[in-house]
Amino acid sequence: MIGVRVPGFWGETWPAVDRRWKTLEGWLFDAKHVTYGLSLLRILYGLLIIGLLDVNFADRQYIWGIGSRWLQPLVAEEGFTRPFTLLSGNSPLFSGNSPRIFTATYLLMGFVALLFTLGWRTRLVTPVLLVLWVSLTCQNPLLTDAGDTVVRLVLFYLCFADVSAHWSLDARRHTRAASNPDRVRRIALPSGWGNWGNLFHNAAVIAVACQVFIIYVSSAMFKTQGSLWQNGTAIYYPMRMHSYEAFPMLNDVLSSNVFILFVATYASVFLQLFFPFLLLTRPTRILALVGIMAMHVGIAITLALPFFSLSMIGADVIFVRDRTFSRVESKIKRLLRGNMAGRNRDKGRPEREFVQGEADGPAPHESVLIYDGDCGFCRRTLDAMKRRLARWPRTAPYQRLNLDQHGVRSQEAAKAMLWVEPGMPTLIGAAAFARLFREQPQLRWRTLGRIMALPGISHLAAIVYRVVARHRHRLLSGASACQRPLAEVREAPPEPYFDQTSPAPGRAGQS
Amino acid sequence: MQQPPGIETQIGRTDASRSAWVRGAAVVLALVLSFHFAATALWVAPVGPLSQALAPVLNAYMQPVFQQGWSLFAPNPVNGDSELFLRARWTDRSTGEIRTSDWVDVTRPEWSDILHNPFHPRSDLVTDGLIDLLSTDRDNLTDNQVRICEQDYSHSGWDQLLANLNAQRGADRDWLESYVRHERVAAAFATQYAYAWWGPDVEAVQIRLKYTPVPDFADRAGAGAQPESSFTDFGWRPAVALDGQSQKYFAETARGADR
Repeated sequence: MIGVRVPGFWGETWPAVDRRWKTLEGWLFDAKHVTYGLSLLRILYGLLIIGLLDVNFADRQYIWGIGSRWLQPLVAEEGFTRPFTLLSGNSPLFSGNSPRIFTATYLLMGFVALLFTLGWRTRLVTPVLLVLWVSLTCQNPLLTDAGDTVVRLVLFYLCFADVSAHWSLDARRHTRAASNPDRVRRIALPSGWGNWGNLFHNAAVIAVACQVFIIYVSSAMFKTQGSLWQNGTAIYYPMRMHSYEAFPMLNDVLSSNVFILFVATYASVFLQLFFPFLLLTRPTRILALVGIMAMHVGIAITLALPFFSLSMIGADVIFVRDRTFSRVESKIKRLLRGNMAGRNRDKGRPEREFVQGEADGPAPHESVLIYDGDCGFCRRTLDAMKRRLARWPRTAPYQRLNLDQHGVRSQEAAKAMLWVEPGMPTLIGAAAFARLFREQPQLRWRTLGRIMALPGISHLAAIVYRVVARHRHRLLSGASACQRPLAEVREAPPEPYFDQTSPAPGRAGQS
Repeated sequence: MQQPPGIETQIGRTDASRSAWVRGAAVVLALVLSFHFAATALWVAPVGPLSQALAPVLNAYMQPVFQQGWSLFAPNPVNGDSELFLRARWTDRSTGEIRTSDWVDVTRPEWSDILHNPFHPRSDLVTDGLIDLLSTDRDNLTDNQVRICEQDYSHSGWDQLLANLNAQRGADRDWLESYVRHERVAAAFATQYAYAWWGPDVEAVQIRLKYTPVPDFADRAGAGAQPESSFTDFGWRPAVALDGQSQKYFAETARGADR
């Protein structure tokens, strides 16, 4: 019996194992992962180091230089040896015993941190920055905070990664080189070399992730043992200590509210304890990342630990996927370009084609704003808005439209204003307004439109709209206006989409 | 939205270019990372039989580069303010009289620098770190050893202090050596401060820690009795100046030292 089953078992299992193995191998070798996250991490850590060097500049000799030699026995206890002794009193190269050489090295470190931030030759700059960072911070073990340790560990792992794939001088150089065929040939690496780079990069990503997990999970496990964390008041105590308290008024208000205190105390324990598991699905990942970053911002302000917070936020960004980053990046780029053309292109409609369609008459993909022509309140509101907003799609009362053509039912149109765009979901009520605002050339309207479309706010706006719409017959002009026959309604002729009061239709989008 | 791939990613896309070497390297890396994070996890966890058994390996591997600990505000956060006081003793040159200064609070000037400034320099936490070092150590002393520490060793010196501590029953020699080393660091700090305040004739310094609990959460409105401060005293110690220490740079920066 067994003799029969075993080959069958392997015959079924082996291909599955093999497939899994190939997937894993592909992940390790085929491409570098988390390139955006590591690039942002690089920028944040670079800024952290520059900021730290900056705020401590005046006190540098007292903290790490010859004003701090009373700490030497503790420095020796830490046991950092070469190459991390650049700034120690007996280093032959950068003797910390000369205040001038110390200052020069300090400034050099700031410069190296700047190169790191800008992403210049990071393969060389990262290890140099690591050595300088450890050499400096290990000179004062009393003032080493957890953030210093995070930066030390993460910078070490980053020595094996490509941290300048985006937003960096290295990336610009690579793009230029790639567009120049001569250079590509010259710098081309032997075939198969990319496997090595990808392998080490991806291993470094795993290492940073594991390090973050160890930090969060172990610190949460220590907290769960504490009675003050259990009864939900733990963060009240450090918030009231002078050495952490930068804004006593704020801390007073926050820490004396039982509800805020309880939620913040428990949230910080649970977010940390479950952090690795929350990352496994997208909704919980968003919850974990938003929650943990909010926690760090809170720590930065209420406990006066901004550099520690930044060190953790920097490490956390590696859990945001490349896809999300590249989407945000292109959105920001479009926002910077700031014209209609860019936004239209985003919907898969090239600008030229769109304009063509307009010139040929009513285009099949034209948007229509549909309102209730029987409602005086609605008409007045739209009239008032027409004086303020420059760009409008074709606007028509539902009573005058062949609603079937637009895929809308009259009950829907009677309830709320609709924005109908072929191929897109119909936008109802507040969402239609948000869309209208987003089409405006002025930043203030566009911003309002964007805010109205945010999760949470959009729901709130929808509720407000529904309440107003339900009672609209009682508002302003009252019932009489709403009962006027439609024939009397002065209806503007259909206007071309987004025409800016221009007499010639079809010029939209060309500006 | 597709980003131009880096040059390294363009090459080596095919399975065939993957040599046995690079596959082998992946296996080795997996083992290295597994060891590294297993060691890290053991290192940061509370001490237990396994981490004790592996202590030599863990110490050698983790220190100093991977040294870390994440017991942050845990198990319970410190729930009070600590201040460091110090005073000094010197012989008046003109009269030959022995003079003792008043106690000076070294921590308050640091606090006032932190107020309204979350981006304060880290020099504002020097006494905070020093107090932490001293009080953690002090908690591990026996009652007899505490009594020894409260005595005057300004004449008999550090070696005598260590010898007396070691003479107690059950003394851990290695640990006591580091204890005295830490006390000496604190005295070296106090000495620098004393030089800045009372001049170069200072012969001995004394440290006192004051601990004031934050009112219990239930009494947060301040209606109840304010919590009482408690004091931890160390005896007189000889002034200590370590090699290479610059009095000038210390006095220029130390909070409140430039009265």
